[in-house]
Amino acid sequence: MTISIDGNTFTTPTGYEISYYIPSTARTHANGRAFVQGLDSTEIHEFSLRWENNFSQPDQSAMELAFYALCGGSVVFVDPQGNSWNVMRHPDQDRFTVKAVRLYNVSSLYWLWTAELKMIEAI
Amino acid sequence: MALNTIIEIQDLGATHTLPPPNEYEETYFRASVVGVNAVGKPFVQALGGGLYEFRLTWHLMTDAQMLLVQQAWDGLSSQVCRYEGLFSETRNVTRHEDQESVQAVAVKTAAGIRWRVSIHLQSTTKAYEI
Repeated sequence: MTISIDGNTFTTPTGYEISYYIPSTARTHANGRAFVQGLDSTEIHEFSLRWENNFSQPDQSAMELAFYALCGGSVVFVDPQGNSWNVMRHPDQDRFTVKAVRLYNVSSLYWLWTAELKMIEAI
Repeated sequence: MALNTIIEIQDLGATHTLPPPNEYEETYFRASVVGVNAVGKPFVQALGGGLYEFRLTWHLMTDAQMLLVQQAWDGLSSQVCRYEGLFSETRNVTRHEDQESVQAVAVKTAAGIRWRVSIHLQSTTKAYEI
């Protein structure tokens, strides 16, 4: 299944992770008893995509456009399962980095490209 | 798409042609802030346009190749240079603010001493100085 971010399509990632949380606060009383209080009833999802050695040059061009949009507000993300989400950049990732390693002892240049992207649902 | 077999860094004095690195890292950054409202819902706000960072690492450079990097670094440390990378993309760059000097680490090989060298560049919106 092709994934897309703000209409930009990408090579299927080698790793995909989705998690969710419900905003809440948990505390422990002085007597050791714990309590939790929900702040909102809406689930918030987080997404992590990883391309291990298969991030292509077209992916890189597309990601510049996608990441620019992710830093500016809510965009549509279509995940590997075909589900649509409104997402934004994750607080833990303020920049997108792609890394490449050139293999030794090959007669021509051969690169392996790796990248990782985190996003959070925009409610 | 074919990749460039060289890296070019052009300053006022010359065009420095460097061999392809063994490790290459490119970072795209757009200034933005992410906050959370009173009920825990995240939001994002952009602050500016996009900038790039490049990190190139060579593992076994010869003396002659390291000299090329030194010459390029002189330009990168004193002016805005034009950088052409692996994908033939061109950017106006300077040395990265976190890297004031280039440290070359000697590696002993069967062919003699070789050098491990890494440079970190950042793009700038300033014009290339011609």
